[in-house]
Parts: sequence; structure tokens; C-alpha cells
Amino acid sequence: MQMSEPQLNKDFVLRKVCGVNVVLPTGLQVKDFGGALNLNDTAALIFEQLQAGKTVEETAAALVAAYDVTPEKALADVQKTIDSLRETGVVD
Amino acid sequence: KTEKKTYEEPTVQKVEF
Repeated sequence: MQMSEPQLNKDFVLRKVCGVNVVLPTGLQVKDFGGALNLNDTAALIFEQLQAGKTVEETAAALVAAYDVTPEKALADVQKTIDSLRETGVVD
Repeated sequence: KTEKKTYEEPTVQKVEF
């Protein structure tokens, strides 16, 4: 079965604050979300790829291109990161 | 060949306030 691609909630933006990757809520999410997300550089790359509409496989390929990581590990970590973002409501 | 960066597992941490 083909899984649908993750949809990033457009009410969240990624910003670099003092060298730290921070995902912040905007609009009405400001009231409901109650905080922010702190992402390391690899998680931020995944967020940016998803924001650009890339698929899970394309996002994993971007990780492989930038980092010393195997395609299998990259794919598994992209999926785990998407699950984490989904838990927080950043991915629908 | 471009040298790749050292890989760190992605982490997502929620800071509540």
C-alpha cells in the first residue's frame, strides 16, 4: 500500500536563533501550541525538505548527500522524525 | 569529492512555555 506523503502544517516556521534551529508556531497556533520545537541540524534539514514538498525518499536522499549516513539509516531516521513531528502536530 | 558532514541522529525537542 502506498503511504501518503507527510503534510507539514503551514502554521509553523523554522528559524535559526543564536545558532539554534527553532520551529515556531504562527497565527492561531501560537495560542494552542504552547511552546516551540528545538531541532538539531539533521532534523532541520528534514523539516526544510518537507517544507519544500519533498517526499520521504527525496528527503532521505538529501540527508545521504549531505551527511555520512547510509540510505537505509537515513530513510529510517526521516520516518522517525516525521513521527515525532506528527506527535507535536507540526505534521498533519 | 566533497567531504560529508558527520551524521547525528535527528532530534526534535519540544520546549513548552
